[in-house]
Amino acid sequence: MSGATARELGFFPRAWAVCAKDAAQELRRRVAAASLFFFAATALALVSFAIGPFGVPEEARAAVNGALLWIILFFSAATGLPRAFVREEEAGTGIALRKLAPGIVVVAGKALFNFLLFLAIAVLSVPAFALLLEWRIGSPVALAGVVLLAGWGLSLVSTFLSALVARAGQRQVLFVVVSFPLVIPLLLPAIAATIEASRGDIAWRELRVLAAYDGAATSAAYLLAAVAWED
Amino acid sequence: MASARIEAIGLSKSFSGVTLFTDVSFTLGPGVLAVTGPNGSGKTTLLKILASLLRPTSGSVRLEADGRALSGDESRTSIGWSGPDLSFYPELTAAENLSFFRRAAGFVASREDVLVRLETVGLEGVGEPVEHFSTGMKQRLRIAFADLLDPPILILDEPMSGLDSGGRAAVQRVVSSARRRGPVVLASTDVEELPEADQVLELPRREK
Repeated sequence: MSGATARELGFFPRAWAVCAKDAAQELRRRVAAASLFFFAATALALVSFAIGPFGVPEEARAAVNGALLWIILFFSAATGLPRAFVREEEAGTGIALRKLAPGIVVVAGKALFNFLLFLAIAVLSVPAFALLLEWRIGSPVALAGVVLLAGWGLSLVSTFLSALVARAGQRQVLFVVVSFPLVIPLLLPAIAATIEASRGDIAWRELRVLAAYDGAATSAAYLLAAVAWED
Repeated sequence: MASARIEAIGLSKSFSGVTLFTDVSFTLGPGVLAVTGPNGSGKTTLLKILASLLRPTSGSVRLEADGRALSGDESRTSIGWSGPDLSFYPELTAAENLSFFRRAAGFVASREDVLVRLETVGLEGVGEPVEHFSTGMKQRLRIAFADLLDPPILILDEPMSGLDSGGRAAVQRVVSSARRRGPVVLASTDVEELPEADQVLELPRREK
């Protein structure tokens, strides 16, 4: 009898089940992926037409391109990642999920799916951005580190806020207002570290800030997941 | 295994100052309790409170299995619930939905086990996504969901809604199996359509 016996699966297989389910849904519907990709493609096209490879003086290129890249990544993410929990409420599946799985399992699974989605966008848009603006990145490894660290923070915060606002009215507006003060401390070091990476340097201080942000966000999500999703 | 038990003690529920029901108490071991009453009397709300999906305004629910009180986390898997507002992932098939919910609950979902669940409600061999299901097929899937983990406590809200004779027979099978291992709570406006009950609880019409 399952109901009265110990569970057979631990935390990670259960979180992975949530991630795999979201991926299966996304592969069949492609709502979040399509909006992310179209936003990223549109923004890239506009930036490359408006600025082009030589629209910015050489000495300002690293700073301008670093900021533009994260603006594109952030707003692309903001169009798709917040749907993680909103989709559950819109489909009416939230009650079944809450019934069987604790908040931390669901938040972890959905954050993992959002992170993979963000990485897919970054893998396509960062090389396209560099190509269109003829932007030579001095240290691609350092840039990959920035994308990984900032991507996890952005995915986790987006997922957690999605859980918080999923059952609220005016959830899109609420998400933007609540996310602004939480995301700015993530984007500023990400932009600074990207600028350094484009110059061929590794911005250890900014990378440590990003790692600390990720640690704090992960701890907060672990402690507050039940409050955000279940209550 | 010792049988399960539900004890409702003085349950009351109000929404925005409107009282749905007050001082509902009962004790139920293995057997069936039919909850009935007119529309708006609070049957669905009462069943959600029993299933730990809602909190009562006052009163409490004590759930026991194996002779001890269930913790909040244990009640997730020890209570099977279905109701009219239970929905499934429209892009996934019935088997994929049930497999996912079993894994999310922390249990292995073998193909054979899921197939048995689907056979019980007559949905075996249906490979289309749930978004193409009829009302009756969705209701059959709700029953399979409620019984997914062989829970010691089973709570079904309007279980016969939208079902044909085959679907009603499936509900009868699930209920007759579940009533041997613990409490089964069923709700309907028409108690006659429910499987035979050991107790009947009638909620009065809501006061205006």
